[in-house]
This record gives sequence, structure tokens and C-alpha cells, in this order.
Amino acid sequence: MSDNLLELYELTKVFHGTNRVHVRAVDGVSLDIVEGESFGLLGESGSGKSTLARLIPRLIEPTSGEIRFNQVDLRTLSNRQMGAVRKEIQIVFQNPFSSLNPRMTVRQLIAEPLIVHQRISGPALDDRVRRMLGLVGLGSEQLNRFPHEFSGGQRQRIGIARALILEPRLLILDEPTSALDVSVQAQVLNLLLDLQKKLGLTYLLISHDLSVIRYMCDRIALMYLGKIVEQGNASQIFKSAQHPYTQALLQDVPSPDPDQHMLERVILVSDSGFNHWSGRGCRYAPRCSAAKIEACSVTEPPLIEVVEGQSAACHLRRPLRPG
Amino acid sequence: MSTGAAAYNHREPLVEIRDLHMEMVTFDGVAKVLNGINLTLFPGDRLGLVGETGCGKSVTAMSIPNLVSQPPARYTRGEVRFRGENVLRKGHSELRELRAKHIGVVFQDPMTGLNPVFTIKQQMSDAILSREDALSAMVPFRGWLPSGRQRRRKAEATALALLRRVGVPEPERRIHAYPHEFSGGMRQRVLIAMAIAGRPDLLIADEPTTALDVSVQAQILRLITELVREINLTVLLITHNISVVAQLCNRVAVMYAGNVVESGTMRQIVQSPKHPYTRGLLQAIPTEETLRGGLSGVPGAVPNLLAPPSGCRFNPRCPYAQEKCRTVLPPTYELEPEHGVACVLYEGARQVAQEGTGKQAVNPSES
Amino acid sequence: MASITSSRGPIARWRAEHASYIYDLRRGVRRFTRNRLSVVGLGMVLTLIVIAITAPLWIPYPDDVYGSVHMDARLNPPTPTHLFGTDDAGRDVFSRTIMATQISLEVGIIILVVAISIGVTLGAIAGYFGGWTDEVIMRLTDIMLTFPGIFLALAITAALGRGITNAMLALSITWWPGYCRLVEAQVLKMREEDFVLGARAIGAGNARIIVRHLLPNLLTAIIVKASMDFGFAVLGLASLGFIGVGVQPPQPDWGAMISTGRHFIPASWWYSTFPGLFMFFTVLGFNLLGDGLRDLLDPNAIVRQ
Repeated sequence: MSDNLLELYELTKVFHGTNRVHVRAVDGVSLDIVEGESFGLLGESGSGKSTLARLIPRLIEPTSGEIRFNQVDLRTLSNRQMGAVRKEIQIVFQNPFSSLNPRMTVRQLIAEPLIVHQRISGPALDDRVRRMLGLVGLGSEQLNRFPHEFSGGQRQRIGIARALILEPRLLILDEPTSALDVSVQAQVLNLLLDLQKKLGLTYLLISHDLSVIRYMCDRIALMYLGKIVEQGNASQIFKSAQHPYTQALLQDVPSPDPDQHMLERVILVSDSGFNHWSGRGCRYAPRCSAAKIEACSVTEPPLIEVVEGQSAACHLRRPLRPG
Repeated sequence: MSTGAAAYNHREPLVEIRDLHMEMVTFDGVAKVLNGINLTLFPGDRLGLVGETGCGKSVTAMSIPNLVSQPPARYTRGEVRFRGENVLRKGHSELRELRAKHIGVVFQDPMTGLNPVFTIKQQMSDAILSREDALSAMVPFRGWLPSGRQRRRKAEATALALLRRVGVPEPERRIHAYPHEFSGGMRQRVLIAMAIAGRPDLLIADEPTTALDVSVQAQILRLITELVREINLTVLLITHNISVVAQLCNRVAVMYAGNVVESGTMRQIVQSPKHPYTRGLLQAIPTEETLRGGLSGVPGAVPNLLAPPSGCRFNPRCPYAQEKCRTVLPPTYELEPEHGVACVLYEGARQVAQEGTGKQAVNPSES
Repeated sequence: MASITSSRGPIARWRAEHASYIYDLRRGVRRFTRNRLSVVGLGMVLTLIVIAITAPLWIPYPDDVYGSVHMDARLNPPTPTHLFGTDDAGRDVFSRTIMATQISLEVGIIILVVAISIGVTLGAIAGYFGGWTDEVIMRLTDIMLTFPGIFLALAITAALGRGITNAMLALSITWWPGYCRLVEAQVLKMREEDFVLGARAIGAGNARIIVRHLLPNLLTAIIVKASMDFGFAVLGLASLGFIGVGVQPPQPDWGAMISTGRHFIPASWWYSTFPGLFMFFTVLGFNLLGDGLRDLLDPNAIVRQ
């Protein structure tokens, strides 16, 4: 337990809209990430995964819950103390086109974190920037170029360099390759694996793309409408998912194997109006094709361990250890 | 409303693109976007046009209803034949008729494809009416005349039927809604409904599922498959996702930087790809069997179309590149029936076309 | 984009390293020169600047500018010695018109600098911090914008008294709300962009984000607006001069000259006409330049994928 780098406990974020509409974007999420592992967060749009990514370094303020990084609850820190912690937790964003200031050169972009935190300058600064650039596979002749001169994959490398220059321990990757072509995606994913080995990083990888998560992660959690519905060992879950949502998801992902005639299998209910939770019962119930029991529409199912190393939040599953 | 399928011989190609070259004039120079495309679609085909950023798949498809703005685009060679006639030479009214009755287009982004200030009913009725009578439907205030009102009512009934067909629940209620009240998947269904309203011969779908969640994507793909059967639709699907193609299409054409590098039946491409780029592309997709660290991509990046590599445009990134790859664009060789590859590695095989799809044998001395 | 780093001297190396700046500059110049009107505008503006700077060196009757009066040579029509004729005090209209150019441009610059400083600062603060700060600042801006420009300036000079300094102050106060609104809207939009989030993620403070990240992206919008406004700022000054509350005699001012010259139309038409032409020339020149700059610097054209 003590080598958990990050522990989230009942983390919640509620957005208040007009007409007293509250969106519980992240609702009571608890998970642990061990140092050195790659933890995958899989979810579709509206699941709250991006919000969660921004909650952890407190880019958005949580409504309630705990974020324990290195045993310290980040919510108790002042702005200044938080600034120091920011060095340790960095984030790479999805869109390589909008996440880099178009008016800053590559050198300025990568150097900025160092300037903000450590007051290095001159040749020492330059040296570190160049080394970082080399680590992500770009050459120093690129230093004075602007982001718009690079391809999507290269821009993402710049984003990674910028995030890693402070030598963080935890790197949050919010859909790092979703905007990239598939051949470039492979390059960037391999780069990430390489860097993880070289620099001893811990990854929280967030994506809607199951094949990316499967390739990169050891343990995963699936989010649906703000809650974790299944969590545990990645290969185990892919082989035998316990939660109906996971099962449906695995079924719907198209594979390049034409012999899996997925389209001929029974299609579930249509998708209209499923982005809201009525406030009672299981959030997935309206779409769930499993045989529902009464509890499904009355109480929220807790996340409990149902198989060794795998937890699911579903009334239809029996806990591994009763009580 | 026309029923396109019965109007001509099914052995004849519906779409034939021959040696199409296209340039785009930009501030920085002239981009050579299409470098001799050969593509054929037969009635009933579901062709997947696969490629990455900048390969020209969208402009190729949009050339069929001649929807590419010229300028800045400029066709310098070749022709695009739809039902035997060269689309690039048609006049405005002929093109409008073509787009209204024979070709339906579904664009990528369901968010922007619908006008946010009109209800679904208004937009669908407009679409249906304009398909019936491409020219006069646009005359303002015609809808207020009694004959106009009657036509409107008929169009609304058709719209309702279409919505039901594409799987929108409670269509009587939802037809009065605005686009923002629909989810992405629903919006895409509405766009599909509008595209097939005129019972077109050809449906062009440009990345129809990219912006959608996986579960919704599956439903949309299934909808398209059903429509293909029901109304004899021919589909040209543009995508960068080979997995989607594997589920929906019977034929595939792979494009890279303005050329079709490989084409064939879906099984041929997905199970025995021959072109180094196609192979690289398939190997870049992580599957269940891919081990951690075992993914190989395609090194390098797509070329700048303002100054593309000479010869085969893939040569800077190709692990098998030879001297001649840098000088001459390889012709297309037919490895087996229907399977064509544009690569010198297969020189021994029968040469089919200057980059063809394997369906027509063009005399190489023609130009 | 391949760049070949030459092993020749430091100049060649600098050029290679900064290839992107040079490239962008060249492209920019090329794009700008395509539009003939913009080039004309640029020419007009450059002419005015040159005139303004060098005026004291070559005006034929420097004394006439500040005070000497030649009552025997009143209201003479244009002649080779007095290109624009003389005014009602016998002074050379040409020299005075040219000198007024210098004064007008100087004052124009000062007005805009002050207005931009105030407006951009307030706008950035309002847009970035939102909430009450935004409300308060923007309501103030709205109030100021409800006054037709010239009346506001008039009211202020009436309160403060005549004179060039007060005129400058009045006009600056009239112009800053425009920039405030422009900047506030842009900052509000940019605040949500990923690159701002990225800056916060690496620990940058608010000040740094505003100055280092947001403002540089606003630069083009501000430059475009400033170049278009300049002509109107000069016009504003001339309007105040026309009424008599701007530049005070004997200092030459186009507005004042046109105003006084009114009484002598149509007989001594040259008195009002030439200053009027210069004003027209100025406003038109800056407008054309501003249009051209806007087309050039339009962000949609700069960020190309």
C-alpha cells in the first residue's frame, strides 16, 4: 500500500449549470496507482475521464474527496505548496494543435517549465532543453520553429518533452494519440514506453480507444457517466469482463478481423438521451441488456471485488468476499 | 423520385475515376494533391477508401459529385465518370440534378452538418423538396402557395418515414426538435436520412463515425449495411480506420499522398496486404496479440504535397526502397484477380493500369 | 521543412536557425504586396511619417508656424512662393499644413499608446479573472461607449479647459474602451484553450499567463485595430481643433485651419481645402494600411496545418 504513488478517494466534481442542473461529472471515484505502473482509464465521451485528468493536478478544483499524492492530500495544500507539487505531476493533452501556444517557439515551449520553477537560465537551460528534445526524437535544428510547422505526431512529441522536462513522477496522458494517424500513433506510443523505462515514470493513460489501453496498460478502470464501473488487471478484464458495460464495449469495438462479424450480433438499445442519470439506481441500467433486478433501478451498485484482482459495480455480480 | 439502380446495366461501373490529377493553389505554392487516381465502383459495392492525413481520400470522393471548389483546386488530367458521364465537364444544373437525385453525401462532423437554428423538420423537408425539384424548390415563398403547402406536407411525411427507418425513436416528437437536442449518433442518423432521401445510387460517407463513441459507431455501421441491402445503395466510405472498413466493406482502396497504392477485396487487403505501406498501416494497429513494445509503426511522416518525393511518394519511408523507386511512379500490378498493388516489388506480375484498381486493363501506352 | 545548416560563417548559421522567422516574414511581405490598395496605403503612411519627421528641415517659412504675422500678405492665392497660399494673418498655409502633420501624428501616437495601455490592461484583467471584475470593468466600458466619441471628448475638454494636453487626455479616454472590449472578448475565448491549461499545468502564475501567453496572441488584433484607428484619432484631434478646444493658436492644426478658413470660402478656398486634403489623405492612408494588415495578419491565415 505504501508504494501507491497516487490514491484517489471518493473524488467528486459537480458542475452547476443553469436552471439548477447539476452535472456530476466525476462522482465518488476511488482508485490507486502504484509507482512505476501504467494505469489505463477507459471511457467514452461524457464518462468524466477528462475531468478526472484535470482534477488530479487541481487544474479544476474538486467538489469533494481526497487526492493523495505521495501520501499527501493535495487538497490541503496552499497555492504555493501546490506549485511545488506541480513539478511532480504533469499532463499531456489530447489535441496537439491547440495545446501549444502558437506564438512560442519550440525552445520557449520546452524551456518554460524550467523558467517558471527553477530559475535556470543561459547555457544550463539550453543544455537541458536540447537533451529533452533529443530524448523525444527531435533534433536541435527545430528549436526556433513554431508549432504550426510540425506534423501532429511531432507536436505531440513537443508536448511530451514539455511535460517531462521537470522530471515528474506521474504523467497523466489525456488521449495522447487520439488526434493522430494510426501510423504516427504507433511511434508515439512506443516513445512513451521507451521513456517510461528510461525515466522510471508512472503513467495514467486516459483514452476511449481500447486497443491503445490494451497495448500500454497493466491495470485499468472503466468509467461510465462519472463512476468507475469496473477495475482491475487489464488482461483479465479483456478476457472476461464482469460489468455489462464493459462487455458491450468489448463487443462493439471493431476489429480488423473480418471474421468477427460484429455487425450481425444483436444490437442493443438506441443511444438517444443516455447522457443523463436520473439520480436513482445504476447509471447504466437504461442501456443495460442484462436481466435487471429491482435493485438496479433503486440503488447505485457499489464497486466490489468479484473476481481475484477485478472489481465491478453491478448488482448482478456477487462479491468475492461476502460482507 | 428516381430509382437509380434499375436504370442501367449492372455490369457497368457506377463510378470510374481514371488517371485523375489535381492540384491546389495555396499561398505557399501549388500542392499536387492527386497524382493519378484510378478507382472503380460497381453497383452494390461497399468500397472503403482508406488513408491517413493528406492522402487525398476526401477530395477524391468529393470529386464524384464535383463538390471540390475550383479554384483553389484545379484538375489537370483525367476524368471522373458517374454512370458513364464525365462529371468534371457538367454544367451547374446537371450537377445539381446529380447531387439531388443520384448521390448522397454524409459529412464527417454531425455537429456542424446541421444548421443549428432550424428544426429537423425544416431541414429535412428542405432536403427532400430540393431533391425532388432541384431548381424550383429554392424559390422563396413557394411554400406558402397551396401547391407548395401540399408538397411540404408530403415532404414532412417522407421525413418522418425516413427518421423511423434510420432508427430515431419517437420520430413524431423528435422531428420538431433542434439539432442541439440530439446526441451525436442521432444527428448522424439524421444526416444519413437526409442523404438517402432521394434514393440515391451512391452514398458517400466521409468519416461518418470518427466523432462518435464506439457503441454508437457500431449502430451506424449496421444501419448503413441494412440500407445497402434495402435500397440497393452503393457506398463509398472514407476512413482512416481499417477496422471499420473490415466490418462494413467488401472492397478496399488504400491511398497514400495522392496515389492509390493498393486495392482489392477486403479480405485480400486485410489478410494479405502486399504494399509496404498497407503492411505498415496494419501493423500499426494494436491488437490482442500485440505484445508490449511490439508495435511497429511507419517511420517518418507524410510528405509535403508542395514538394512531394519524386517517383513513388512512399519511397522515403519504405524499408524496401530501391533506386528506381525514386525516379518512376510504379504502375499497378495485378497479383490476383481484383488485387492490385502499385509497387516495384511485384514487377513480375501483369501490369494492369498506371495505378489502377485491377478492373480495367488500360493500354500502358495511353496517357 | 528541411533546412541545410551551412558550415559557413555565423550569419549563415543564424539564418538557418531562424529560418522560420525569415520564411514567415517573406511570406507575409509577399501576401501583403498582392493587395495593391494596401501597398498604396503603406506608401501614403510612410510619406506622412517622412513628412512629419523631416518637416522642420525644409518648410519654407518656419517662422510662420509659430507666430509671425504678415498682415500685408493676407489671403493670397497659391503662388510658386506660397504653394498653398496665405491665410488671414499672412502666414504660409503650406508650412503650417506640413507642420500640423507632425503635430497630428505625434498626438495620434500618444493618444493610441495611452488608450491601448489602459484598454488592454483592463480588458485582459476583465477577461481573465471573470466574475465581478469582468462585470464591473465591462459595464464601465459600456457606459463609456454609449457616448458618441466626439461629445465625450468635448465634455472632458470643457471640464478641463482648452489645450493640447487636455485634448490628448480626452481622446485617450474616448478610445480606450474599444480596446478593452476587443481584448476582453479575445481573452475570454482564449482562456479555455488547451495551451493556457498547459501553462497552468506546468505551474505558471496568472501574471505570466496573461503577459507571456495571452497578450502575444492578441498582438495582431491590436495592431490591426490601432492602424485603422489612427486615422480616426487624428480626425478626432482635428475635430476638437475645429471647435477650438484642441491645439491652441498659434500652433497649426488642420481642424483649426479648416474652421477659420470656413469664413473665407469660396473666395479664399485654399485656406480650408489644403488642410482638409491632408486630413483626408491621412485617414484614407491609415485605413488602407489597416485593411491590408488585417488581411495579412488574420489568424485564420497564419495557422495553417
